[in-house]
Amino acid sequence: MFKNLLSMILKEFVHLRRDFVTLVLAFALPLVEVFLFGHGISGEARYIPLAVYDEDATVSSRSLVEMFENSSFFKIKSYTSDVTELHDYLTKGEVKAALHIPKDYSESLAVDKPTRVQLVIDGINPQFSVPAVSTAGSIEQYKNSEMVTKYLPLSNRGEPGQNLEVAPIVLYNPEMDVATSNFVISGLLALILTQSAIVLSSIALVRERERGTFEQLIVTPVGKFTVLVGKMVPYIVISFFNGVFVVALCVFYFGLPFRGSPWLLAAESILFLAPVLGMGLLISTFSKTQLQAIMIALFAILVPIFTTGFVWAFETMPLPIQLIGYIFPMTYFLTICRFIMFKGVGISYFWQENIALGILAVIFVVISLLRFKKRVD
Amino acid sequence: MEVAIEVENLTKKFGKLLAVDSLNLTINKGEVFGFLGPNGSGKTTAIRMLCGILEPTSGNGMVGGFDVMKEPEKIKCNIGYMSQKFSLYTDLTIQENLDFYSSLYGVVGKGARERKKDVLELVGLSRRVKQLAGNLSGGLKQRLALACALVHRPKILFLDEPTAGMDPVARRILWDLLFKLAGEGVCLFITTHYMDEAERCVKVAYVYYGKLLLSGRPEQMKQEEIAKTGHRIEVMCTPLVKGMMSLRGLPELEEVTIFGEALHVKMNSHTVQWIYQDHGHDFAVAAKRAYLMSSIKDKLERDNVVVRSVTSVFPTLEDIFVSFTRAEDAKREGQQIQKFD
Ligand SMILES: Nc1ncnc2c1ncn2[C@@H]1O[C@H](COP(=O)(O)OP(=O)(O)OP(=O)(O)O)[C@@H](O)[C@H]1O
Ligand SMILES: [Mg+2]
Repeated sequence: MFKNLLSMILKEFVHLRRDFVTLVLAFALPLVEVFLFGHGISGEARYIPLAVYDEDATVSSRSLVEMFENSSFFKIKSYTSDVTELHDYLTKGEVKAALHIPKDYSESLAVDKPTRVQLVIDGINPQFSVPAVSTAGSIEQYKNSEMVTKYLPLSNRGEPGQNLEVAPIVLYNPEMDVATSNFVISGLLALILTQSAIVLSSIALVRERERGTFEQLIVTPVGKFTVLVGKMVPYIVISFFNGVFVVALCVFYFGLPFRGSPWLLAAESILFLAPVLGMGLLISTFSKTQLQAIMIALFAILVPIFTTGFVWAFETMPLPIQLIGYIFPMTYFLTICRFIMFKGVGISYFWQENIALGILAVIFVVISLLRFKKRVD
Repeated sequence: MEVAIEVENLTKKFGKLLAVDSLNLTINKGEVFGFLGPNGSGKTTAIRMLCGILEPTSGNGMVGGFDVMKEPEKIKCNIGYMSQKFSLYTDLTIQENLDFYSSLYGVVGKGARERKKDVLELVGLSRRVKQLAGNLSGGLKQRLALACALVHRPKILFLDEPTAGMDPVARRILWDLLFKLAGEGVCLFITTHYMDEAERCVKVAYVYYGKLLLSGRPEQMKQEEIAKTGHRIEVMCTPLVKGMMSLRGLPELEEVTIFGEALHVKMNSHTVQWIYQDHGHDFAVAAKRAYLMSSIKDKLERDNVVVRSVTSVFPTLEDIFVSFTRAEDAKREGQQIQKFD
């Protein structure tokens, strides 16, 4: 029995090794995807187009504008000397943010009087508005403390100054209630694991059928369980390594916080792979051709993106969507991932999710076992 | 003698199509059984049911002492199966395929390596073990499939057209090997379209449209055929085609076909009756047959064909199958006509 399983696993590995292109794709595609996702969706959107109306036009005001430019979050697209034009730029969508420095800017600061610089932000895309607001805040803070050292006599230095106010106004979507970048990127692990596991496993059985090798395989006394598990193990290994790459990219490249235990996340990933591979095998028992299997697998990758809290927080989604989400292991794994990465908490916070993953794994594998007949027809 | 395979009324329907129609067979240990029939007659379907990989629609069967309906997994331990279509892994080497299958059959441990080496030696693939199965020529693929089906010393071996695409020398080697296995007590169940191979079998069965038309030992079948349709007459002459045309004008004959360098002649039922049945006496039979043969020679010479010899021979299995097929066709046509009436 164990020997059988071992040779089944070895054989699947040989298939993978001989099919070098697929093997490379299995590793390369997820990585490319993470890069694209990370940069495309990421809230670390850089170079937000900015229009500037510097009414003061002094050395001091220019240094403020420079700060915006140097923050690398903004890119100055146009200067203007007209308030209505500034407004037009924004409404037409030519820029995503507009900065207005009042006429008395440098004067007020010089005499230690408060002054207000206005930053108007287009809030439709939170990927722009969120960093814009926070950058405005940090510029304000920096400038204020700089002024304390620059303008005030030594004796008066105590609290950092409060004279400069960079006031952001977010138009169109003031609450910015959509997912922040970290939220989405943190789900990439779940997505990539699902993708590599389900595509590879869904064709596992069909491929034998399509190549005609199924007949010779089932005429041996090998057990059904051995065949199914033997086919899953190589895909667990591949998917797991993909997961490691993804997490490394998220943390070291995209700077995602990682507060919990990496070992726990690794263990949870393997637990997560069980129901996902089960799902893939189930697809394999339903499909007559590899093409069919891949089509269904694609569906099984796309649906959870919209139903499991990958993009939007699960709690905020409508009930029917949530109900669909409950079938997908990704729903539970996303919670687990985010708990471990962001909150740094242990298993006691998500044992229910673990149980759900276990139940789903058993359900999918049992149905696959029942559906998988050692018969040709 | 120990029975290896026994089936009763084994039937398989694919929707409305009756692929195997109430098959009855008994095959003993150590027998080489030839399962014959035209394309689409249900041979592969029957074998798949016997191997436990296709569920019969109805009927009973025991293969190696286990029930086809209830214990297909137990059957699988005792049989080897070589499918009609090559179904080993083309992206694995010879050695890897053999290793994989032998381990699935539980051929592991000390003896395993020896056994695998022996089997490869037996089919003549020892020096190519590192070659990918997909790159082998058709005949070599067949040999590899045989090796994988043999490695666990099965008691019963099902071979679905094992010699298709093999060169004559390889075929002969394979058949020698099969007889060797039979000598060791293995039961061989073989399908083939080659009549010379059918002639070598201890027992043959002929199926047509899923129905068993006849089965038995070739010798016995030939005796029965002679009783029914007489000996065949073989005529060596030149030119052959002219000879065939000439004999087709002879009313005593039913069929004249070219068989290699000779004409193969079947007499019609009227003549058969005249020769064999009116007087059962051996002497009379021989005399009448000689008379027929001389009239054949006369007719040919009258038509300017050079005759070298005219001899009386046994009907071949092919003769027998053809005549059964014709009879069955006539029966079916009759039924069709009845249906449309
Ligand atoms: N899975 C299937 N579904 C539907 N019909 C089938 C199936 N398998 C076989 N048949 C049909 O059953 C009949 C018998 O086919 P089978 O393959 O057993 O013939 P065969 O005697 O092996 O022919 P050949 O000499 O060409 O190998 C054919 O008419 C075939 O079309
Ligand atoms: Mg066939």
